[in-house]
Amino acid sequence: MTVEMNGKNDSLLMDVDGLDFVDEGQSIKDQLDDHEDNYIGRDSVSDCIVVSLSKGNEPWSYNKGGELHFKLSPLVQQNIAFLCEKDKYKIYPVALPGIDASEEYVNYVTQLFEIYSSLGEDRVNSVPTIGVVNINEAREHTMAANLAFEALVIELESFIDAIKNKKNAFGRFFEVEECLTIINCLKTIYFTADTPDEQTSRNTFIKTLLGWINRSDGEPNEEYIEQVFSSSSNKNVFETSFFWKLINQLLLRGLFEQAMACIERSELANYLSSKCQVSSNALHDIVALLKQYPLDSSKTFREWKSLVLELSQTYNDSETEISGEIRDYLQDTLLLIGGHQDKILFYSKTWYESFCGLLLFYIPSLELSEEYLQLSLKHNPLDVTNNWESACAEVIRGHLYSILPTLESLDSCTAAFTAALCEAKGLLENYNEDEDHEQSRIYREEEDLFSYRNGMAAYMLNNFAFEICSLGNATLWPVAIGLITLSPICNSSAKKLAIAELLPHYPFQSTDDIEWMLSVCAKWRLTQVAKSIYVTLGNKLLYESNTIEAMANYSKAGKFEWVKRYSWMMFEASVLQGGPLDDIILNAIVNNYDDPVIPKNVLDTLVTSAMKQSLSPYAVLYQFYVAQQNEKWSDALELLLLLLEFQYMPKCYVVLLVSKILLPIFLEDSEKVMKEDIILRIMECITNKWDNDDEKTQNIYLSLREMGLSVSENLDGLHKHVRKLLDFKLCQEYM
Amino acid sequence: MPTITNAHNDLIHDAVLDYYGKRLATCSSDKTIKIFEVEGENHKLVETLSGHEGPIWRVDWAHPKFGTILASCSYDGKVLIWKEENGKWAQIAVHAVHSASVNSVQWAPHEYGALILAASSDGKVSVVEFKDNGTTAPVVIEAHAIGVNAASWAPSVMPEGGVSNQTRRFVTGGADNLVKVWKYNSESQSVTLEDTLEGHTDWVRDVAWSPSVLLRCYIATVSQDRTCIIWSKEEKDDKWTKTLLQNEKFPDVLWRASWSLSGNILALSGGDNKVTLWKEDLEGKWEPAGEVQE
Repeated sequence: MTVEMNGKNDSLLMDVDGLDFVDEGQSIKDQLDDHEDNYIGRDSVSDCIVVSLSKGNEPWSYNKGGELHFKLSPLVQQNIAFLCEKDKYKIYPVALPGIDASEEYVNYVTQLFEIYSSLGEDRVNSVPTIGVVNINEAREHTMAANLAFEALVIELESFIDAIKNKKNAFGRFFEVEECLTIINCLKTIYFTADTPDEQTSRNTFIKTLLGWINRSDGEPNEEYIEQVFSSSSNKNVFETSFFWKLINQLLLRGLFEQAMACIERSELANYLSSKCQVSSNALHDIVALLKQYPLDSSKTFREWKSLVLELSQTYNDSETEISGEIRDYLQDTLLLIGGHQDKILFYSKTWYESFCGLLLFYIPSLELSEEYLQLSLKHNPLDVTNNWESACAEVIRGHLYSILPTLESLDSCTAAFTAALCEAKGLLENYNEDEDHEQSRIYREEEDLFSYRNGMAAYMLNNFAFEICSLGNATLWPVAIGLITLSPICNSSAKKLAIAELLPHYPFQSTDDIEWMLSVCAKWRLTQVAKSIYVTLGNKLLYESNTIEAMANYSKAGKFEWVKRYSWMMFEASVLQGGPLDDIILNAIVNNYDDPVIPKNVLDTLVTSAMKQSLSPYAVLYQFYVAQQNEKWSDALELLLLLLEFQYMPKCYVVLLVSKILLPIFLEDSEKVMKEDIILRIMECITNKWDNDDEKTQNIYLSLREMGLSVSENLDGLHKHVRKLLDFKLCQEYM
Repeated sequence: MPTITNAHNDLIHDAVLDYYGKRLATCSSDKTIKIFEVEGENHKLVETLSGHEGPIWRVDWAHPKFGTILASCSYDGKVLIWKEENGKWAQIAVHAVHSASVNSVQWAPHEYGALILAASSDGKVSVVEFKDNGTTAPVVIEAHAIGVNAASWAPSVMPEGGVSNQTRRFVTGGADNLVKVWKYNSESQSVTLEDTLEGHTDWVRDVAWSPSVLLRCYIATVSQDRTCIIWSKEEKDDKWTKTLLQNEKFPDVLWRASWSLSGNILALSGGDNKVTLWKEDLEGKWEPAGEVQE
């Protein structure tokens, strides 16, 4: 955003914000200098000075020679872009286009998965078509697939309802609405007419057909209807062609009630009854017939149609007392509902209106649908600017594969489940069906998850599963794993591989989340993945300073070295601070599970045997502190000796225990009596384990000195000092 | 997360989110690395890491199972490893075998262990494994004359149960306009050249091996010649097939290529300051899948 300031007419400039003229004593240049950072330059054409009002807050500049760097992150909602250019030090978080992570969408996805999942064995079209064919089985399979598709449409409608009034969801609303039109067409042609119950079948078919056509464009809209009724100022509305075109359009779209309402509003009935009884009777009959349009069976439709044709013929043969124009219009309407092809085509504004009209009034058979489509397209071509028109035409032609990319571009969820249901019904022919059967069977067993030989539905379902995993929404993860699990491919090792790759990315938060992850690992025997999850979890807990829980996870991951390391680190920290660590769980563990707050069973599930072993030095140390607090010095000394004599005690900690505990508490206190055997054991221990050259020992000693502990200057000095005091204690004992 | 302004005082060269999108690391010519904590819409600068003696080109997070660990590479010829423990960041290792700028650094798939791949302007590529008890001797190989601009690991194909001697591959792109595929043997600590892919007519700026083993084997390479090539392989013994992402040249140099988690979306960014997304359609052709907007 820039503002232009004319540099040549300084005196005419006004300070808009201050509602005053620019200070005459200050030139424009001076003022610009005040905003030097915002000065961009002069416009090459007008020579105007160009000032940025948004400097420092510009979007990416689309220039040549720029250096935009972008990297996709594991989560599609969080990606990072930045310009590697001088004075451009901003980092732009960006979301990928066309990604819906709304609560409504998550709900929609979950519902569709439920539908697909509950299809059970009907997810696969395995009903035999040769040999012993069980008719009931085939009927049940068809019924199940049709019901599932019906449920999909209902969920899509609910999703649309949920977002239609949402702010910033305008584009998304149109995308899914377009999806719905394609899905409705698919449902009309492939998921209703073969419903086993014939009565329900025709009813559902007609309703679905009308639902598809009328929701697709919302025509004729109310505004248009009002225009028709207000256009005739000097004659009756029914004397205009607009009125009859409207009536016939409504009839072609099966909007009988609306058509009858328009006829009533026009007062045509009153006019005819006063002018021509024959025509008035004909109109009454038309209305009566429309009210009785049969939805139950083909037989009743044939009877209804013969009545229409009879009426049409009678009216045609009758003398009337109205003008030729109105008579012709009435005649046309009668012909149209009588299924006259030319009239249907003539009064259709679009190909789908005539397609609908032919199915309603000509011969309501889907076997003729392709023929109807050809006829309709010849009269009203496709509007190629609409995604759905081309897709619907492809559906009618039976080219279901070609609509999947269109659906996918509008909504990948709807596309994937639509493909899955089409495949379940056997509508998507398999890519490899022309291959040798035995060969193809071998292939299918070895195929990977995304192989084209698995079929389009499997490809799209798996792709969608991966897509929702990158939304960072934990709710969708069970859906993703479920989709991969249910995916109609035979290769379970490919599924296992996919789950193993995805699962560590699960954005776990709660214990329930972790339990779910581990249950998936257990189900698919993903031991390595489980270990990796335990380690990740351990790191997270360690970051949150929950060391014990972190160790428990490391232990489950088999990272025993790490468990040992953190056990010794806690031991070291405790010795350095001269008391038990401030960790309720740790102290409850080492205090023989005798804690009033933490129940024993909780500790039992937390503490692994590796932890019990590795924490045992700290447990002894803890007991030492208890004895120290109770001034049970002999017990305390015995516990300290246990630690010093512990065969796995690192050398560096011998020095630490001696410097921090033995020396100040026992050796330098002349009142503390030490028995001869104890002193000799300590001496033996120091002889065996004291190592002045050990690097870790030196580091520990250095830290002790840095902490201000008054010990000798070097390890050797300390060693000698300790030996001297031990000798003294020995003498004291003899004396 | 809103835009982060003035993250650095000089050119920014890399910005990478960690495994769970919770931390962001950025690096710059100002010789620092900044760590931001990301929580929903908010971000917070938590640390500024200094240690490099030149501009820092790239950063890469290790898998969380190794802890909170970051690798960085710089014009100073070094790769530094940083670790956070108890809220404090520390430099825990230095890898300094290169005699010129290190242009790219990447951690291997976590199944391989803490293994890092570095590519340098000295024409060499190094692989170094960081073990709990210290660093093993790095393997250094001559990769591209003039210099190596980028390197990328192939995804792990380790079967469940773990096989330590599986084949580990990586790809490099160089200033000699070539793309090379290498095989790394961890036991013998050796790297052998498997394939040399010719197709670019100018410097290869970035290489990215598709991270998923579930799709076909894909490598995307972008170049100063304003093209992006997708190299693909169906079966183990097949030759690499070269496919130009689009036949006409892009409007400007392509700087970066990256794949989505599942390897089904490829993002390219370039000199026209646009990010274009590409997706393989159901028939295996590469189609534009939109542009990323701010």
